[in-house]
Amino acid sequence: MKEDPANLNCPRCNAPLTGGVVDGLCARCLGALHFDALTTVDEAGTLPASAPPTAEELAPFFPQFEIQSLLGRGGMGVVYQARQKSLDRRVALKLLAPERAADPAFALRFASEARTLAALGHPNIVGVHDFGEAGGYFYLLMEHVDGENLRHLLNTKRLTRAEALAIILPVCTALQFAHERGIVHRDIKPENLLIDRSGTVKIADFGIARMMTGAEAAGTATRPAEPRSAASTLASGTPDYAAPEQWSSNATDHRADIYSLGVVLHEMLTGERPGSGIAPSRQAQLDEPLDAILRQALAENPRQRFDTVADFRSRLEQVHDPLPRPRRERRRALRRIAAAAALAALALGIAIYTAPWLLPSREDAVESSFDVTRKVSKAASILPSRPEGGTGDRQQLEENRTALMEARRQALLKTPDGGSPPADLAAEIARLEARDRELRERIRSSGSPRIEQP
Amino acid sequence: MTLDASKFTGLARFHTTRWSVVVRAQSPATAEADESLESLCRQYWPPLYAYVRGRGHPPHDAQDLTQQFFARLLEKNWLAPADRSQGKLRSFLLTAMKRFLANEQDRSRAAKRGGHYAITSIDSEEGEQLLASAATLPEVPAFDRTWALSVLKATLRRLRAEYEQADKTREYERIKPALTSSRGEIDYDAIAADLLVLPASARSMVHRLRKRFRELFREEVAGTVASPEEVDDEMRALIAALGHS
Repeated sequence: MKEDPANLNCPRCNAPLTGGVVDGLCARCLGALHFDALTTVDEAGTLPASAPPTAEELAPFFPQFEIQSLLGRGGMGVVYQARQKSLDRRVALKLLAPERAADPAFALRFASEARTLAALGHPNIVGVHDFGEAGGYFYLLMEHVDGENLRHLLNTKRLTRAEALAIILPVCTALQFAHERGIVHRDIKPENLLIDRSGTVKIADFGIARMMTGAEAAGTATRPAEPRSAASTLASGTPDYAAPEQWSSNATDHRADIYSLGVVLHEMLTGERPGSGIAPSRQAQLDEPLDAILRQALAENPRQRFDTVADFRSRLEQVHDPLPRPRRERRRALRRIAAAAALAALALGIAIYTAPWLLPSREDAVESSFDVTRKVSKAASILPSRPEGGTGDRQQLEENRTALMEARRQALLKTPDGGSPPADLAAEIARLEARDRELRERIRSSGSPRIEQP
Repeated sequence: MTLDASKFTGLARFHTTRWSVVVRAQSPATAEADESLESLCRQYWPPLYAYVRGRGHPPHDAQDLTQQFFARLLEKNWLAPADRSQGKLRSFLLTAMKRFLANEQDRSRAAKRGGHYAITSIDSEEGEQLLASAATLPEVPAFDRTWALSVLKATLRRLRAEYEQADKTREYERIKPALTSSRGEIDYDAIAADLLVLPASARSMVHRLRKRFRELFREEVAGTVASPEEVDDEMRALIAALGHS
């Protein structure tokens, strides 16, 4: 190794450099750098948070997009609304938090995880279109969801039981879909559940927690000494929603998502996260079967929870539809009611105010959204219901599509006992397909692909 | 983006705790212990050479003596159980070298040099620089200082290699000076402009470089002690030897 034995002093520490230069650097200063480290326990915490890049700053690095606005920032990164010029479509551009992205090993993990996520196509999961590296950032190009996140919704109104279940059921379906492909979310929380203008619920940030923490560390968190510092020390998952095993070094699996989903459902139903020890049915006007379901989802021991999200979902469906017969007809009717109720509150409210769905700190946004929701709810209550209007049809279309995909999937899989799928499944698929065509035709002929603005 | 998994897995295997492997090895030593000892000898050739030079031997003799010292060491005759109980490689090699030089004075310098093993990475130039860096110090502090410089060199070699393997050589060269800058002195905007990245990225690049340097330095030090409990002590000793008490 060639060194420059110039007879100079270090400009910083003024020590003579003769012979004390390592790869062009003053050895004494290098030692000082390390001395800092002996007293700095949490090196990761020493990087000051910098302001997210502005749309103008980003523009030169992403010529293929027109960066329109900053939608929000979270622990995992910063999200912008953008227009993909080539396809003239709106997209969400997520820049991952740069701290780990500077790690060469991260590049490898990022690419492999992003490919997995891109393959995770489901109507209730925010799609990943593309990924890459630009401007020193790793980015994910995602489907843009024009709507709200559940956190905002919970901030603006108290959900009814039917609304809560209408939101949680498609989330269960999507999670089951991902779990069957070996992908665990690990950070289910209201901020990651988006509701678009048509009322469709979509899970965001799938697999990002794992991507950011590495396969081995994923799902493990260090329980902080100070609860206040929890958000900064939790390796993956958000403290209030993380399953107990995510706090320890125990292995985590899909059942961590079941726990987090239980917390979300509890919060939707009662307005509070679990922990008070009071049964949910007493906190809110609820029936007792929901208590049992929540208790099982929130069991400390993952083995005492539901085995799968599908099990969780079917128990919720039973409660959702307490009348045994004729089952299918009633369920469909109730679902329609739930959807309509949810939509009156959700979709109409958010249609006129598209709040940034990742910025819970914006008080003004929450405030105006709240006012608007109140006005619209009032307006909606005095308007005659529109059972076959655009809103109801779109919701039905989404639900029908979910059911159709589920039925098609079942047709491909064998039943748990190894037998063939039920004989009437083909008929059911045909019926769902016909219904799909019918609904699409109706929406098209109504000439209003979107919910009317009040 | 082209990514190659083998690039990274190779790095992970590079740093087993090498001296502890040697210390633990029973006789006959395992192949892993032999390999560890050989790589340690190669890495710490220069400070031993500088030590021999500091004792007054001219360059050519110092090269021969250092060469012979390591050759003997690798023939394993020197690794008696009593020697192995020496916790730190630094102390062990210094003690062994002192004894070797004392014995050597009684022998003919014309005796057979070398042996079965040959240390190929003779870098007397580096050793001479080390010697100059410690010329004014008494014997043992001088050895500790040259040793600390060798650990720093090894650390930076590995750091550079990691960036090279990730095709980030240019990034490494540009941000390397930040290793010895205080935080307020680093011009992130200038780095960002040079590397065509956003200022926030430049900040995290520098942050990671410093963090990785510390990690690798710790690993290098860990490679020269027999047990994990000795790492912090040894790090403090080396930092003190570099001029920070």
